[in-house]
Amino acid sequence: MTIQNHLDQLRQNAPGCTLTAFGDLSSRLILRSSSAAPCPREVLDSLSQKAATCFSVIEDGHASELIDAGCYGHSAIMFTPGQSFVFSRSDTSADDVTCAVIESAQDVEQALRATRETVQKIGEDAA
Amino acid sequence: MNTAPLDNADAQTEHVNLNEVLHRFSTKAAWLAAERQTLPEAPRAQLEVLLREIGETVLPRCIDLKTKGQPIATLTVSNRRLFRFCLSGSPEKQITGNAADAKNLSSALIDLSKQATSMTSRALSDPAGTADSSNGCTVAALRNALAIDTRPCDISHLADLLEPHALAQMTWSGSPEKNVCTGADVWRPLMEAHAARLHAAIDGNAGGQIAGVRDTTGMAIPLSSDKVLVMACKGTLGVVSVTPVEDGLKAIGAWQIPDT
Repeated sequence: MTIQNHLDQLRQNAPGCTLTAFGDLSSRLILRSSSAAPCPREVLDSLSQKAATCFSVIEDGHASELIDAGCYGHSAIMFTPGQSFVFSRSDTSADDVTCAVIESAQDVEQALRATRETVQKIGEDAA
Repeated sequence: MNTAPLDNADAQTEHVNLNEVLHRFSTKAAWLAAERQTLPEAPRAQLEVLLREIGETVLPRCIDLKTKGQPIATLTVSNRRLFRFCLSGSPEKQITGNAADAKNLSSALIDLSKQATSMTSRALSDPAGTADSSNGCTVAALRNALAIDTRPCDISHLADLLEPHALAQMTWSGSPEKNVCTGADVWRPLMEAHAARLHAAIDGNAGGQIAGVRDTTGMAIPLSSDKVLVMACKGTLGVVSVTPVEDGLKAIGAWQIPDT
């Protein structure tokens, strides 16, 4: 299954999901994305910036030392009144990140689990 | 479910939040029923439920508020207005639509929202005195009198939603260093470190400014299968909380619905 297929599947399965993406944290680039309508590059750039910020907050706040990665892996959610941005890092390749943009007031936990599952599957397919 | 004609005069004069209307239409009836039987624990959320109930009641009804099964107050509501207000053991008070009356109700409603744990609604056997709308107090007037911050999704609202479930919580106004902590002390260093980092990230002082974000911004970091760190700040206000995963993520969803 291609990365694009995984992203399409995640977008369809996560409730209220409008955009999914796969990117590289070190270069802060989104490499693949899935959305119903074409997504402007600036939106994807902003998404990768948010992902980088989230994980830098985790590292600088020393939460990474406390995280038990068993269930949700290395994941983070950024939220505003209008949207939630779910990010999940790969266990095997720490720079790989999968992102899901969720409409407000949706089940974020379900999206978190699905995003985590997707980044793991992408990692397994690449191995 | 109460219904109101679209040409109802109230519908033309009161602010109607489309998001809330859509949310309620898309919510299953059973869930709504369950929601109405038990008031949420946070006082602010309880007050919102009470105001929403008043705002959605068209036919004459009594709303009974109870704490631990004991009645503490009865509100008479009709045509989306509060007509009578009676604290248990006190004489019934007739409400008028003027601002002073609404103001007098404000402290009583806040006190009730702190005490009440359940709410029931029943049809009114004697609807006398509820026909003339000018004798009632609208939800908009109550909100004004209560000085409720009508901006959606504010920090204090999120703090109220998180607090009942939090293992530890920290709030600040001004600088994150001047914080107030509750709950288990063991989480304090983690909460303080993240409060400072989030504050810096949002201010753009940490080399990692959050692009395109000017509104309240929050983060949730799952710490384990059962705990999540939830934090948010806007301007000089902020909250950090360690809560069970399910409760923390539900609070975020509930916070994102304006006026809940």
